[in-house]
Amino acid sequence: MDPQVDADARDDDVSPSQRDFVAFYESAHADQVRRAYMLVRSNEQANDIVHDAMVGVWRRWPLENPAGYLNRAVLNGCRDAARRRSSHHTVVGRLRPNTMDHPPSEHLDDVLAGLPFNQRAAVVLRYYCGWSTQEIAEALACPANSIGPWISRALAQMRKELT
Amino acid sequence: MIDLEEQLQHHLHSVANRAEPIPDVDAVFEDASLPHRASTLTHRRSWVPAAAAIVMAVIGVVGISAATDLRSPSTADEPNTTPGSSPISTIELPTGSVGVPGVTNVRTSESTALSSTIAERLSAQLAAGYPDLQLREDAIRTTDSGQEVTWVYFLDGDRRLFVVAGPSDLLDTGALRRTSDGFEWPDEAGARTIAISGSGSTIIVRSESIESDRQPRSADDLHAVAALTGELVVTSRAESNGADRDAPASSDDGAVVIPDVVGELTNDAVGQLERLGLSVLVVQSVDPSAASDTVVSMEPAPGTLVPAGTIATVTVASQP
Repeated sequence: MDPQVDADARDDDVSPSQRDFVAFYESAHADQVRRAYMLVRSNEQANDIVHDAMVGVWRRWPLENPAGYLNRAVLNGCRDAARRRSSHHTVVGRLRPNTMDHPPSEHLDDVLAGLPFNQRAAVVLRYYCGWSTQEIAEALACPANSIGPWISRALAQMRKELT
Repeated sequence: MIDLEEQLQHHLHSVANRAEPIPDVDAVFEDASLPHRASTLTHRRSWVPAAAAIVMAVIGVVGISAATDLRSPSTADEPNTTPGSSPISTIELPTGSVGVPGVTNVRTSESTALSSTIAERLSAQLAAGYPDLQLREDAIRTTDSGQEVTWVYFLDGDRRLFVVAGPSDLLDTGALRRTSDGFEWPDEAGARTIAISGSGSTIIVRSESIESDRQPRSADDLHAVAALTGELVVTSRAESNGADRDAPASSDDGAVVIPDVVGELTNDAVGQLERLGLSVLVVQSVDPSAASDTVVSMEPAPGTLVPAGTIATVTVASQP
């Protein structure tokens, strides 16, 4: 379906509140799915997590800070997904072939995937989103002074694995 | 040599391009208009359709005591007891965890409608007073009594605050309130706290079984708790006292000597214990000093002689 046609049809019978939410959804959805994808490595799961979070946002609409709420909700969803998949990752990790045979980007992928969730999320939010320490701390709902050590440990681990 | 941080930035942007966002705002409106629980369940394709009828009553035949002790295990007094009801187990939550693993089993037909009511009630309270918290529900598994189990909780950052009790426990709740170390959802008289969090708690669980055909606590039930929370320490005690917990069994048939699996990988340790006929409860504990996914402690202690089927708790290191 053409999204524009769909949106036009929707405009006829939506409330101002819905219209605002649609605008928010359209501005935020793709970025959130990309971010979630980097943390869960599954398009289906990333779309599901963002969908869940958007349902939560709409239920509470209007929110004072919908973007902040959405960020936290998506990251919480990714964290839950990571917990569910942790045992799977353990097995995959053991079976992983010698990474020297693989291109560096693939190796980096593996190293990132093997990081604890908070470290991985902090790295993505810092180096992909370019967020400040405070912004990352708010999104991950943790003390700001945890972020630096998480990123340092993640980088140290990556250096160790990549050399 | 390319700087790692630069390489990382480049790599992350290339990974992001592999994402395939599928916008569907209509589905958001549609799901949001459904009762809360249904919307959470329906779009998760991996969940079986039957999950939509899941009950929220959880795991086992126990209920939270009316005088649940919320203090840290290290400072808690003797468990509160009421005449005629003896504790069947003490569940200790380690520092940093949250939860109320007390539950009451009810029959599906009774609980389906009730759980929906409760989810809506809690959802409304969260929306009104704590918009940053999300009500979540999770299916776990079918218990050995044939029930599918849903665990209802809400999230506060990376902490899960559990609301776990049978529907009958939750019907007379008052207002959710934030406390110095978490949340409480007391009943209208202020006596029973159903949702809590904190730095450590000892929950006294009593037998308040609705079903009469089950043991008070089964390995399956505990597995289900552990599978979801990953952070409960369940101190197994005998029905009404813990006198024989640490005492080695003498020469019972099927007795097993607990092997030392400290330092082993979780899967290896669990396999080893299960092969001996033990039930295993895996508890994750944040421990940056230990290798992730390795066992850092266990209970009963290695060398203890226990009956087959005993629940062995292994605490596994995870990274913060």
